[in-house]
Amino acid sequence: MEEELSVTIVRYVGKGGMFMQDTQLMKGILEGCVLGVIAKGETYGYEILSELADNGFEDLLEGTLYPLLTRLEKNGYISCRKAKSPLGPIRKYYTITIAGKRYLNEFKENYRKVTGSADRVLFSGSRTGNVKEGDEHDGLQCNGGTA
Amino acid sequence: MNMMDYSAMEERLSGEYKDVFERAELYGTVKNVAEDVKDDLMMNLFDVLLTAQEEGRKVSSVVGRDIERFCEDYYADYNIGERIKRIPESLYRITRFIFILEIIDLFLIEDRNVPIFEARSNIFPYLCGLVIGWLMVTFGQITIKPLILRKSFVKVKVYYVINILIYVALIVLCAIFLGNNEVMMPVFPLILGTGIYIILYLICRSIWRYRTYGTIRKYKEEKSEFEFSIEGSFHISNLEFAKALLKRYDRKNRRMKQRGRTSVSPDEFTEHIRGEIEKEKKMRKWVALLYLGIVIGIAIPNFNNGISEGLLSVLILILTEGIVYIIWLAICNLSIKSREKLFEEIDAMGINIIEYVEMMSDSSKNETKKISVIHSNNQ
Repeated sequence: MEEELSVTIVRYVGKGGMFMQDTQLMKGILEGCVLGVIAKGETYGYEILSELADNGFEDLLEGTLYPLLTRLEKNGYISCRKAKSPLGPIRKYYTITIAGKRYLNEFKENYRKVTGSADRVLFSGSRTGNVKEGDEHDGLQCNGGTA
Repeated sequence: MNMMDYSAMEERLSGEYKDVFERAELYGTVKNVAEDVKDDLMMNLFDVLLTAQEEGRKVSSVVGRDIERFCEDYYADYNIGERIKRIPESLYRITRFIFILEIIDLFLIEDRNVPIFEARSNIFPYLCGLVIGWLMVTFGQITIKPLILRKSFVKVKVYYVINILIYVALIVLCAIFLGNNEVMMPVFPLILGTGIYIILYLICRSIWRYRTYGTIRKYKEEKSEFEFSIEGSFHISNLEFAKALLKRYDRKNRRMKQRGRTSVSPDEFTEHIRGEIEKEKKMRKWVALLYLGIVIGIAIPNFNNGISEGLLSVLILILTEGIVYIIWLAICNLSIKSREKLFEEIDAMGINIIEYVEMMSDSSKNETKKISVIHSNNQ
């Protein structure tokens, strides 16, 4: 299931494509994806950044990630504990909460619905039962008049 | 009080990593971000940059190419709402400062024959301070982007120096040209007003802490988490402290060698430092006795003028000398605690200081080699 999500993300997000530049869309997707990474196990900021970069989010920066993690924590979707890192500095380790898991499941469901619908609109063939170009029609105009 | 030792953190970063860290720290300072928020952000950034440096990952892949954009995004959550929430605390600090100063001025410096309700105070220095502070904040906010973030042609340290020079120049100009000006106001309302605000603030803060944490114990747990953050900076400072001890050890053995004596072993040296810590702990008790002695010694003659006079002078001395003693004690305790933690780490690893420095200094190989060379030459 998660593999499907990753593949879908790469397909839609691409690598530096126009989708990446749609900030509002990215914000919504990022939150779910970050939660998805944290759901795999306790992790920390740099590791999240690396994993997302490996999965196509190469443009994601710490300036975006840390405030996002702070918001997720404030909303109760993740919990945080502080511990010394191997290199010395205090590091925040994040774990998903029950509320976070619920939110993630809802996100996945909504994402699947939206991408499924978008798939059908954007990548399907001809329109079924609808007038094609060149076909005759009853001449009705959009404003109710006749041709 | 900002407990983060940023300079120790910067020492472990190099090149672009250090540059980004310095600029982000300066941005937080100029934008007047609250200290605890800034400490949290900077510790996280230090962890990320240090890890990226160790892994050889490009800085631009972590923070992007636009440092201005990075700083704005990174500090974005510290918005106007957060600033407004901090106003009562800022006012508390200012009123506490004014309250203590006016109390000292009224009871220690002013003519005590003037009844308290008729005493007046010159508040012009406070107003000057507020104006100078506002000017400096505005100057910083206007210049940080074009000089430090967008153009980056001014080094961060140079920028700090410029700010300090302008600040000192403004104070001197005020003192020279405006020093004789006075804005007098009755002292009693000033002391009363600030005192009432302080009490109200402390009450509200206590209620908030009780509601948030339930008990004082939970608040202390939260406070200890902050001290854990201090530990983070201690951990970084531990390495610097251990290096300083190592240099001291090398110097000692050099002198012993010059005098034809046997070198001190690392274990003997470690025990010697432990002994120093124990002596400092005992010294705290002696300093406390000295403080009491000074208070009593100065206050006793005042009892000749009457018991109330004597008691008042005792109170004032306790407050004024007490502030100095408390600051000294805090620094002393912090120093002892950091050294004890260092030795706890060393004992847990079952190594001595030399081995500790070599183990922790992998990222500062050049400096470690230098120290090791000095050490091996001594042996």
